Amino acid sequence: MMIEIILIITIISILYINFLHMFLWFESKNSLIKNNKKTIFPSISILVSAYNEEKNIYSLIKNFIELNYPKNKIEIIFVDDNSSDKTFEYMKKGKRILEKNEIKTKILKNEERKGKAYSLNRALKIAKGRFVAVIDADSILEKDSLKNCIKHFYDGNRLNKKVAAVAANILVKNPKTMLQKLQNLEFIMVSCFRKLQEKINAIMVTPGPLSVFRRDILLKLGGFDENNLTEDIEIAWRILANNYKIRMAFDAKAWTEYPKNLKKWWMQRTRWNLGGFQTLGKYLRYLRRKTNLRKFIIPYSFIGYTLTTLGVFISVYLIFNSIQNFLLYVLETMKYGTNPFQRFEIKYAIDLFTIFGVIIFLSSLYLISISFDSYKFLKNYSKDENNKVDKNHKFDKISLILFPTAYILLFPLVLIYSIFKFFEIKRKNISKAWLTK
Amino acid sequence: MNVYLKAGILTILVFFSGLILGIWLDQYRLQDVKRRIATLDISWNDARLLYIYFQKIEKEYCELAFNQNLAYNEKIYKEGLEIEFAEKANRFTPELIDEKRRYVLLQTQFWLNSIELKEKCNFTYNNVVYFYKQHNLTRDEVVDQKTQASILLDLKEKCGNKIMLIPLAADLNLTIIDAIIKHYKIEKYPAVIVDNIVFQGVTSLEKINEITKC
Repeated sequence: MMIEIILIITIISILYINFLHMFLWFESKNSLIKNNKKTIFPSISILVSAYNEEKNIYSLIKNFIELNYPKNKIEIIFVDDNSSDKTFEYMKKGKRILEKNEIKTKILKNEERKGKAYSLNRALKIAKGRFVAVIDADSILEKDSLKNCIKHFYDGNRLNKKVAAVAANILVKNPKTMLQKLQNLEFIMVSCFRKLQEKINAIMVTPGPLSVFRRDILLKLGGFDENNLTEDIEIAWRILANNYKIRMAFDAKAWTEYPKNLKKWWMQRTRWNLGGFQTLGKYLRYLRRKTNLRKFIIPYSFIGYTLTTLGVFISVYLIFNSIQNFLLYVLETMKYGTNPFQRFEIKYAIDLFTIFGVIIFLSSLYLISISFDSYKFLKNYSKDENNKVDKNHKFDKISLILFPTAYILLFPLVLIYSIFKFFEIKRKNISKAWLTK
Repeated sequence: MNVYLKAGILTILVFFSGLILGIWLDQYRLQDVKRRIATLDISWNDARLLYIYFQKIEKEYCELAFNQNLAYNEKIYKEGLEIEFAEKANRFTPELIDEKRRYVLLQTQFWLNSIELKEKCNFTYNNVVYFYKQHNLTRDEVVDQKTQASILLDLKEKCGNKIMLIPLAADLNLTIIDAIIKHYKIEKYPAVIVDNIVFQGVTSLEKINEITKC
């Protein structure tokens, strides 16, 4: 009976989330791209925290030079987080190249490895731009990405005082391995849903590969949380907790490197989950306050984590139970000299849960098709010749099959692992070790 | 209208539509079971009356009655599988248990008739009655019952017309079944009665075959 109750709550929750996103799509599909009549170019500081990124620094510098943004309005601040390779030397060489191109550049170096949030806060303190863009050193920005982010801070020519941050559209850079192709599909979907969630002030993360913030608001809120494993999630929640808004620039694309193998993927997702738990724990009390976190983000995260965890335990219990029963049956029938497989037949009766399973499957399929449609729309919309990879991108058939059948199943597993890790970290107080991974 | 509200309303509508569809499906299966039991009931009465009629006017009624009994045995077994299938799927039809009780009563009548026929006509076939629990099963009981069912089906395959296999659910609160259980002192499930000999717990094919001798 308990299992049935949990199943019913899960069904209602998934149906609600799916329908909510469908309605958001109907209301937003014609306004995925914001078109301001006049392009505005305020000053912007680009903050880059790097650790052992020597192979990416030059392409990043080349990328900065090619940006469709007035060079005199850009300031670059590199922070080397005490790299053990030649990152710092390359930054210094890069500074000269950038300054030849009339882009003001500063370089900072941490004396010991302090983590991304600390490095960004150091850069934030000396930044001069009206806006700050935070980017990862392994990201590649589309030429118009900064321009396209900035326009979301404005309504016409007037600055919207409530918009504190704009999240870009993050995709996987050169997806080669199957895992990267699967992540690419995932991020295409995530981007679409993030854009839809903008309408209800429910953007839960300002992604590290590219997000733009109002510098004054970021300073007022105290900068990035250096104790959180995912400073990009935490700052987004803090912005919403203070009743500011986050927008998403669907046409501001940034490509970044994502794990090639399962081990690195697992570690990354564990870190994201741990950061998510930290953030949820920090802001759970905001459920009582009238903020942008209350309506969707906190209930969604809390119910999502709880139901997924329960779902995994129930599934494992049921599967284990069935296997155990089956094995016991096989052993016992063999003991009595009868063939256990002689009358083996699969006969399935359609019941209440099958009906809901079909409804959930179809509505999820519709949402997936929405995200692919939005991606295709964006592909055709982009005029950037640098974007050839994206233009020529075709969905890999195997990844399309593996995504709903195998890849999605990894998420609950990594969540359970993260829960155990979370308590281990709490017990042993080793969160700093995770910060530097 | 607020998008949260719209999604909420649609969720409620879809959820209740799914619920109604689920209830309708359960009802459909229940009606199907009812129809099957009614058909079985008619078949039973038909066979029973034919048996009485033959007894009165025909001297050589035994062979005919035996064939009737055998055909009924096969039919009732197949219908039993359908009821079991509906029992697994249905969630909203507690009435299904009453249909199961009616089914068990028909099976019991069939068994008693089989005993009577065997005595009157001096048949050599054996009545193999399989008692199983339907509710509150432990893991061991589930495994034991599945194994016993498999052994008995092997026996039926081996013996064919030489045995009448009659499965009976023991825990459906039926006075007749309770009386039989008391009479045979059955305490452990699965239990098998071959003619008048009782086996409790999983019983091997060889052990049962010592009596049936197929």
